[in-house]
Amino acid sequence: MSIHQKRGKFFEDFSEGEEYVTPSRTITEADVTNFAGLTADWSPVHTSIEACKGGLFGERIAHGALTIVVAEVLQNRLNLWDDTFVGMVDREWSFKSAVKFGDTLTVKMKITGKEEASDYPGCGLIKRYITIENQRGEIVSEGEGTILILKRTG
Amino acid sequence: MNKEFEGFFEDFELGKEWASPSRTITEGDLANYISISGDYNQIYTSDEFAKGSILKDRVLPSLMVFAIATGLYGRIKGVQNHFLAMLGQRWEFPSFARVGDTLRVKVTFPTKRETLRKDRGIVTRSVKVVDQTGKIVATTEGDMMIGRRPG
Repeated sequence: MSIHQKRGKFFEDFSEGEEYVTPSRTITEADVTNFAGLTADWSPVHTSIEACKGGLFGERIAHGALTIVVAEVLQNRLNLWDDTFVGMVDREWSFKSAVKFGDTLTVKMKITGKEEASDYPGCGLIKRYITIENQRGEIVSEGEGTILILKRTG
Repeated sequence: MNKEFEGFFEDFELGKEWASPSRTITEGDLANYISISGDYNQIYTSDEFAKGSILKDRVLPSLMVFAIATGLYGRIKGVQNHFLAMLGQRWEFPSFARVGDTLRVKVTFPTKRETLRKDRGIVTRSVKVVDQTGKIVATTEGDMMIGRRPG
């Protein structure tokens, strides 16, 4: 595939300060059940209605890890880096609220920096600040993440 | 015979290294992750695209390694018994993993501290996700809130 046919922005095309809002996605019982099956995390807080009664949230909540995965994929749907994404370097976050089944998540992403990638000369590092919100406008989690994006000259 | 590890705050031994079961990551696992997450990036899903890229071969999504690692960690006997919450975590992904790799989680608990609440304390967790060659694929550091033994 010639470089001109690559979908998405190259490293050179990103600017610090760019802000994006992703499409939204409702986290369903099916999502959580599938994630439990994939990871082997069947913790009662995610999988047992009875065990959650009288607990901290009163009802089942999604795996924190699932919300981080979904937040990444919602950003993919901005079509910023379809063919130019090379890898994830780091990701840091803290959880502020739990995600209940049926909550709808939206991600706000801001480009906070660009750096050379010394280990991958054909790529650059894009730093982002990622805020995950639910339908009530509450912050589910927020934090930073760095990704490797292909250079036009890469 | 060792006393069974109950997983209360008091039970976490500082500096001891624990290992999870290992898990070979298969095409089926990758297909499940792609389907559940919705990440169809060609570096994971297309041999042809991957061959023409700087990665040369399809790789596993780093967040898939992260997701699998959370499950492997939970399979270390007792560690989740009185787990209340993660206070914040940072993951780094120094190298790629691929289908066919066998991953394992190695964890130490470097420090712990009491809190103002009598029913919980904070234990620091330091995790390495390694493949069958010992290569570190992911690392994480973070504080966990762990329940204290009652009474």
